[in-house]
Amino acid sequence: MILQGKDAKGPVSERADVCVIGSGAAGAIISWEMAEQGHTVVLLEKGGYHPRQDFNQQEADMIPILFKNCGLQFTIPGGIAVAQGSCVGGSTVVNDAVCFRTPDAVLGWWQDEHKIEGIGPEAMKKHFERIEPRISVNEVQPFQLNRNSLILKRGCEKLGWASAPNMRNCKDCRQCGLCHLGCSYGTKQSMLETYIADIQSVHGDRVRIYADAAANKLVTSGDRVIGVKASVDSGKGRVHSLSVKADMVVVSAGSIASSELLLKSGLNVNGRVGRNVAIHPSPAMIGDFQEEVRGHEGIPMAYHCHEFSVVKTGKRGYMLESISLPPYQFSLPLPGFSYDHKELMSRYEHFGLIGTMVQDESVGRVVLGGPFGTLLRYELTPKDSATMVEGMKNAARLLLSQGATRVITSQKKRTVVHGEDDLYLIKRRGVSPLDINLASAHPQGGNVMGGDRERSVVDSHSKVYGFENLFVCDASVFPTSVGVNPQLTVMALASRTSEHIGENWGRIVK
Amino acid sequence: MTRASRLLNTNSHAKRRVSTLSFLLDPLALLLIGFVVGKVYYLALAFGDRVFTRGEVREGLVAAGAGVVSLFWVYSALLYLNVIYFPWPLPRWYQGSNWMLNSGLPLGLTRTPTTDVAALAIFATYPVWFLIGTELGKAGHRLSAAQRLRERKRIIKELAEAEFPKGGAIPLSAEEVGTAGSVETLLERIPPLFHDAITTLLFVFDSRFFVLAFTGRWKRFVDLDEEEKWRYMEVWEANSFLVSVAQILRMTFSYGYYTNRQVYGFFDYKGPMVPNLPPWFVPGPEAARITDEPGGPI
Repeated sequence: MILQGKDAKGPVSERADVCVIGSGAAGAIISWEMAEQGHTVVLLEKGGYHPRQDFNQQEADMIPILFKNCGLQFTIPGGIAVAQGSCVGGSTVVNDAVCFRTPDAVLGWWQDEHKIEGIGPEAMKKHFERIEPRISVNEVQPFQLNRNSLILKRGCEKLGWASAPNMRNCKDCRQCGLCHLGCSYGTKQSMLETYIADIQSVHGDRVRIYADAAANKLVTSGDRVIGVKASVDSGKGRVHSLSVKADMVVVSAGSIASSELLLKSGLNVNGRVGRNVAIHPSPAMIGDFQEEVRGHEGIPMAYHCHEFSVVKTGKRGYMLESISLPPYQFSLPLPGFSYDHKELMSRYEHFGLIGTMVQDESVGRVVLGGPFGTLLRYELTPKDSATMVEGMKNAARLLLSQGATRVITSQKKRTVVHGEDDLYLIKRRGVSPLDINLASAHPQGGNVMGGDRERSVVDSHSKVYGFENLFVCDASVFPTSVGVNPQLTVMALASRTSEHIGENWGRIVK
Repeated sequence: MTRASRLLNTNSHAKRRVSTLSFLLDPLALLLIGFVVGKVYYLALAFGDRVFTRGEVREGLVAAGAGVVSLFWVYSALLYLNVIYFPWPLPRWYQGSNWMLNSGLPLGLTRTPTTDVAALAIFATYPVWFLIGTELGKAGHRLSAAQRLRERKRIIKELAEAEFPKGGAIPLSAEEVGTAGSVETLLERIPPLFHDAITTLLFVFDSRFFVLAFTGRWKRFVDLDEEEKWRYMEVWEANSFLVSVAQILRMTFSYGYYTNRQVYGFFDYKGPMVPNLPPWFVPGPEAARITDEPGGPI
């Protein structure tokens, strides 16, 4: 049962075995698993509930209701746009359905350097295998590659770079190209279509889902969390209080919001909450082709190049990914103003777009900004900047190798590369956030997991240090940036955490 | 001429000039600082009491005024009394009273009982200069909410036209596709803090202060002619910091322009497909059974 803000008529009190905060990749799975274990659950989601019938594929209508802050979330200084979903189902509703297992090298770092127990590739395998069929993860088929993806594929083949079709959680995709405006056909197997739908049909009696319900504070007593104070937005300025008493609380609100909630609740464990945030900053490289590319037709993110990524090298690097966007979102990274900008946008159907996703060092920090709300401080390190420049150069080389007449970077000063001789411009124009339009859809870290309680916020099983019944499980627990699209890692961690809770329930709620 | 007579001559000179040229810079500096503080005050009010209450902003204004004027009083008095030199604590350049009386110009004024009285009188005017500056800076702050909204509408309309003028590769103008209206709608839907921040940016962009600084014209952006608007916008775009601000505004206006179906037509974007399948949809091996499933095409 999903209770929406408009249904609330006054203050509400709830009592449940488990309170889960956030209904995205982790929260939905944990809620399901807790219900499966026989527990009652209250699931709080700050965003609204929008079934697929609401998804009209219009940017103007969907961005305000599906994205956090209407898509307006920026790092300081520099203003890198950080996109996150804010609706029942979380970011899984608005992502491009790309599923990567956590690279073995990354799991190795987490196990060896961060001393996390039972997180090696072998230990995680069963969780991936449990999740993948449930959300219909399958490989993009050759006939599903659109021209934008084919540019990346053929470029990689020509240059001898390792590449592959993406794995996606999509069943019988209609290839409408508008995944990140919510899947109108219900074929993307987001949390909304899978775990949330299953919770409603199978465990509707045990799980109460509150949409438009923002958790404001965790209520503690000694080393235990005893409840959650929340508020339900009923629209038109009406807000009702919601108080949840629970034996156990799981915070799965996403990298930024989970840190924010802990900080607001005064639970800055070891002074580490909010630290070590990475975002996978991604510049766009746009190739202009004589013939039409029509990148928006078909699956937006269907192919990737992992030649320079941790997947192949075992070291931090970058991934090149084909991506396409509808017109408004496509217009954002383009440089220029007025007639110049119009000239570029008039070539929309001729543009091929490659995203360069940098696996960054985790140096960002979530801080409470008083009247200005929660802020994400983030700067590129010199090493990340160098990686980004290298990635942009290789993306340009690839586009040029496939016949692009020019490659336009997302740098704020119009930078156009016509050939190898122009590549130096990319470094000269700079890649600091003041110099370039960067986007991110993968905030990670903030409540890092680790065996060393002095350096971490949660232990090897996502339990917050110093508390017996408080867990954080979402991308915020990543000790380092993961280097690939993170949703499957989050889901596998949720499965792992659920399993641990099930095995230790008596001890946790004693 | 003896040193004494030179002094005497200088003194008579001082009597003639002290009221017009001595203490030349302090009033101007106070006027300018007052203007900036007044501008900040005005822009803070654009946040509509959500970040700071109107009372807090007013207290801030009074505190800033008291602080700035006190600082000028103390520093200038110490200079005038030759307790410190100018520009203390940086390396010495002028004797304190010499600087206060001559402002670096070759006026030859020196301290006398007459100049002491004049100095006191000028010191007494310091708060007035600051006050005049703030009044100039916060001109318009008494606008009602409705008036401020009307002004914002005007800025949005003019800026939309400047961002998306008629002609070019996509000939439709902002006015023809209702960009300003869409931006207004967006501002009502986004979180209050962003609404206020973008509103503030719009007023900053429109400010006479910036127009004067960048184009030499004491006019608001909305009152500039087309060519002046271009010149003004080019300055924002050329500066590596201001270009980020300009891009936030451009992104906001793009929302109103590039989500329009008429604009789609110029680059052949098919737009939303629902309720139909996309025209380019190529059924794959498994697609034949799609329509039989629950939740098929809507």
